[in-house]
Amino acid sequence: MANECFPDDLGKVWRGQKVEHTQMTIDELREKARKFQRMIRFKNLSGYVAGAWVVVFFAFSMGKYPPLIRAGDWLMIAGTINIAYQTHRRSSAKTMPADAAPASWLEFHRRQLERQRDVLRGGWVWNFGSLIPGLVVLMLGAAMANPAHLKYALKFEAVFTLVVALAFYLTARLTRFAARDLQRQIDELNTMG
Amino acid sequence: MAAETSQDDLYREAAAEYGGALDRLARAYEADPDKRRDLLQEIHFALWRSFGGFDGRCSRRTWVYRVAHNAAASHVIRQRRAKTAVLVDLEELEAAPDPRDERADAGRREALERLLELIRQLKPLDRQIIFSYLEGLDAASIGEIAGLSPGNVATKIHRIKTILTRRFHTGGSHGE
Repeated sequence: MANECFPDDLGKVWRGQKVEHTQMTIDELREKARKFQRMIRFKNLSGYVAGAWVVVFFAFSMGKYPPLIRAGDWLMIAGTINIAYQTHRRSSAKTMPADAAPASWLEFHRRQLERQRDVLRGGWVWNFGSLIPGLVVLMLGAAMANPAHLKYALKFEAVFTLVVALAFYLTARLTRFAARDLQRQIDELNTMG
Repeated sequence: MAAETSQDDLYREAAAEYGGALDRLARAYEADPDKRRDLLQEIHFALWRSFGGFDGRCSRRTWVYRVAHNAAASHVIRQRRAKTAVLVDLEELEAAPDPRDERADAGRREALERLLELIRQLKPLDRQIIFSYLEGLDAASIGEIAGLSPGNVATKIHRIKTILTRRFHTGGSHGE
């Protein structure tokens, strides 16, 4: 015969289980917070270090070349800065309020993952698009710098163009692969909601 | 400095008052003892950080349970990337047959183990609701914590009771 009070009794069993009553000390928590902040800072910084290297490289090489190549260097620097800015603007993580209700928690994470996936899907276009003007001007500048060796310059630039095209293609493939991984995570979240 | 002290005090008070419930919540989300210890630390850390922004808009209990649930649900997602356990909702659990012998006279310990096993199969939101129900919270409080309407919570609690009765009731003897 069914006992109507039964689930409530089970609640008593649940609340009566032995617990460890963990409590962290404030010093432990502060230390953990410091480590957490260091990790976040490192993650944020590492994304900009590669860009900084490119800027430094082009800035240093500027002095010794003709004006057209210098213009190409400036365009490459501008393109790199634009990539860093766009990456920051489009994909930087938003923070959810810690006390968000569980019902909206999954929705928030789903939206974040979708946003990052969309950035990856379309990201290679604005990444490469930012660098193309600089690359074109640099190649023109290199060809015009020494008209006597134009034939060799054009050969070199054909090879260079192929290498750049291959790099663009591989990056596009990698970002698409990363976007597929994010889509898998989104699908998994959908099964949990 | 005053803000830090307030944050520290709020954490100390909450940990003292809800420490047991947080421990039980960690058990509902993680079976492995080592990972559970890590999860519990994550929950306490999330709680301490969150009190930096506690503005009293909701009760402290609601705040604590929400923060703890969000930390635990993040843990579930991280763990699920490593292994692919299938999580179900209350409706599916209600319809599924009980794989265990319902006539078995489970002891308190076994009843708890079975209960934990059952809870860990659930999706995070349903898990939060069954946890809150077992903690003795009423439907209105559960609705406030979970961000659901009282009607929705009442339906889910009804399902929880049906499932618990069916799975654990053995003709008057219930896990004692």
